Amino acid sequence: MAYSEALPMREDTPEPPPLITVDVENDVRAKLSATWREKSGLWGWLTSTNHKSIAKRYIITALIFFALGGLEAGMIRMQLSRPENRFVGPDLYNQIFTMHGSTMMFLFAVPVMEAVGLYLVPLMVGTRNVAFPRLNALGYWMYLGGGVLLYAAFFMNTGPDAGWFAYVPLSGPQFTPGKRVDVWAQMITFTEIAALIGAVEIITTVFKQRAPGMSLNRIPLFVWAEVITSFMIIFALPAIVISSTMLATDRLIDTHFFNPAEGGDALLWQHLFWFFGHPEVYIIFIPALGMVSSVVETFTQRRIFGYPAMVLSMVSTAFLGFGLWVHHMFATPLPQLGQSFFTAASSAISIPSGVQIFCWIATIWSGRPRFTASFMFVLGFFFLFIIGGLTGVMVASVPYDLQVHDTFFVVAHFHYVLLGGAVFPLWAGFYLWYPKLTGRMLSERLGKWNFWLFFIGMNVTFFPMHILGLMGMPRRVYTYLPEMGWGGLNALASLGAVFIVASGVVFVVNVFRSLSVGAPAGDNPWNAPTLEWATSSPPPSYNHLFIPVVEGRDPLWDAAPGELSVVTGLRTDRHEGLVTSIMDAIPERRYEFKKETILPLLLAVFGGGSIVIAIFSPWGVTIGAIFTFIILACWFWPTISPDSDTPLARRRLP
Amino acid sequence: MKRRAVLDVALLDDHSFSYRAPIWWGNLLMIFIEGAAFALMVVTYYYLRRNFNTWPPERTYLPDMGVSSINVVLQLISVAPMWYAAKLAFAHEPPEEVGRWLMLVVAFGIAAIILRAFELRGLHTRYDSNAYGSITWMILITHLAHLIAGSLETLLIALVMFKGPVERKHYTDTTVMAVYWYFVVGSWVALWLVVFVSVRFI
Repeated sequence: MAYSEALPMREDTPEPPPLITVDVENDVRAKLSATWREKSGLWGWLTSTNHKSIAKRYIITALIFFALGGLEAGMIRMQLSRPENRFVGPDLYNQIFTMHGSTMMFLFAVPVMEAVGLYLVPLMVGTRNVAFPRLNALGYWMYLGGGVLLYAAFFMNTGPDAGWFAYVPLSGPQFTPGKRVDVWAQMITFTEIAALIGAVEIITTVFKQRAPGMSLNRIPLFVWAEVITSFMIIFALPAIVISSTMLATDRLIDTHFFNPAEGGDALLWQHLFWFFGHPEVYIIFIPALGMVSSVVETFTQRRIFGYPAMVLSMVSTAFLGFGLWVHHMFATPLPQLGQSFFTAASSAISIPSGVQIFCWIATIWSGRPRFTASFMFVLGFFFLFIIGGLTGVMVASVPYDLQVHDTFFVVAHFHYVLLGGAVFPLWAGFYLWYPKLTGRMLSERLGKWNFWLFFIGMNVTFFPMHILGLMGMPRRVYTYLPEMGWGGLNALASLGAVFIVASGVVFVVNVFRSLSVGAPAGDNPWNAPTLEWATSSPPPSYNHLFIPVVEGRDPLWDAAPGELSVVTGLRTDRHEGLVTSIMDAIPERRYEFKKETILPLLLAVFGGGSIVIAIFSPWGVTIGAIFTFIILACWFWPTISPDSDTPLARRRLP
Repeated sequence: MKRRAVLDVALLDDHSFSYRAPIWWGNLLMIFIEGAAFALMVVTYYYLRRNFNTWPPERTYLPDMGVSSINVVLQLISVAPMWYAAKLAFAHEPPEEVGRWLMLVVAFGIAAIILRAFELRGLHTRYDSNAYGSITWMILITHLAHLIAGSLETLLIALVMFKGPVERKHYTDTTVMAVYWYFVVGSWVALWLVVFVSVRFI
């Protein structure tokens, strides 16, 4: 079917189609509100399958873990602030830095990036919910379970202590008896399930539920970023799935995957872990790129420069991201050809990153930048990420890497990349989208304080670590002698952490204060171009009153002023959405979303419970499988309800 | 903001098959995830090979070809009833008829699960003997989990076909289930070639 046949555009029809009258709008609004009303109270909260409710608690949970990870970072800085400090002992210190890394990577960075996507993607592509709403709820509960497990164990002095990448043989049964590493391995099981579910949701939603007219070349860059990230999750996480399983069985039932005495291999762990772990960095970073594009476009009021180059850069970053895991292993015996290949691949990643930076600069250059707090965070991102990128190119070279391997130089590098490259864009995104989530504006004044304290604190904390690393200070030592001469720079770094904590406090104050006294936001306070701004703030449970029809890459800028083309004819008496074709988003069918239920929570409790049992006994897996099947059978068993299908098909077939 | 109605979708169907159905994509992504996991297990298998002088290790018999060959053939045959059930589902044939063919697939699935026990014995090693035993057991057990999950899901859809209020979306589920079953069988052919055949040549 030709595109113009499927979607009669205004210019194709002799007379413009009629405007929808206010009466009709009110009628549809009343019906949709009734159909999509979320149950109130605790039961409603536990059974919700609305993507916005779930994504909001996802974001809040991730931010709580960010705060906990930050507290651990604060304790690390406190301990290292002077030589021979006795604030914490070596055993607790090992747990703290492992908890810090594991929390930030598995419980904050990946979940929060997916959560923002789960909130915004359905709004941005103009649909009513994610493709599989119940599965989405399960994803959140599993994630929460993983976090609770990790922290419950930590408070019982069973926090993992072998580093966030849990290298064998240190993490193996011989050198870390007890249950600490098992807790880590099963926390991974929880969070990997959650991340994979999020990825499946995002890809399916974007592939099949885009508003009519949103062909591939009109997808907002943030949505592209989330899709590309989701594909990375799908191909990278199986590596940690199987390696953490191997580690758990090595520890629990005496398999020998990593035991050299029986033909196992310690380096196998490093290969498998980093085949996941390096893409993980881009899984965190690519959504941030999408956020930067949204912010830059909004606050320069100019279409993003080089859209195809931006999309292709993100795709090639994702591909390259799978080809450079070995650069984490330059200090292990590698063939020389391997070293050269992975040095080249690691350096090559700077090319697509550079392309994007230049595209953003071109956009800002030719636009009218407004220096809001959100935009300041993006400028901060440019500065910090470029420094992190440059040290990245340095450590990509094997001889240099061998000098700084396992020193604070590496710590400095990846904090510049992760904080600068992901957290700053995330904060830019908070300032951009907070009005949409809450209907209130954040204070710009506090926002600027938030930015400057964070920016200064970040540099004061992490820049000295480059020098400490070059002076030879290794990572993961709980203290050092005064004669080493590292005291001054460490004290400076710890001082910087105070600024970061202060900026965090300002942010929290701003968020809570603005909830009540923030200026009302209106639908589109920034005059932004994407569809999430076409609905009210906060959006109603059904997202858009009518599914929009997209007529350009920047739907709200391309539409006639004050006017929006929309789809009619979807049923309002059930949770119905529109399925469109994958390339051109031509309407194909109507689609009923599953409604709210307690089953995802039950599955998370029983399935999750059996994962916890599996820390102690392999029978946990069997028990879990039985419960899972019973609950899934209830999940899929059909129920006849008046709104379950069209009248034609409601009767028993044939 | 004024809204202009440019497109009416009231007459669109609410049912579709194949790549037009969201569930088909969800299933495909699931296959990507599990396929990637199997691929990495194969990589691990050959990676660990380098740590041994002989493969299988000394004093370990070659894995038995007999039972495992029967199981491969059995699983390949099970594709036929699954394909036929999917064909009936595409044509919206009576649910009981679809269900009968699905039950035949379940029977094949149960047979394959039982044979897997003999295959494990035929490996002539244990998961805790050495790294060879660990990885071969891991591959067989992980695939066994797929056989069990696939059989149970097929059984569930068959039961819906016999008992449930059947809606047209269950026909889509049947065809998507078929795709998953093809993956379960296809991945076993690859894994069988690795664990039972290639071991004789490397």
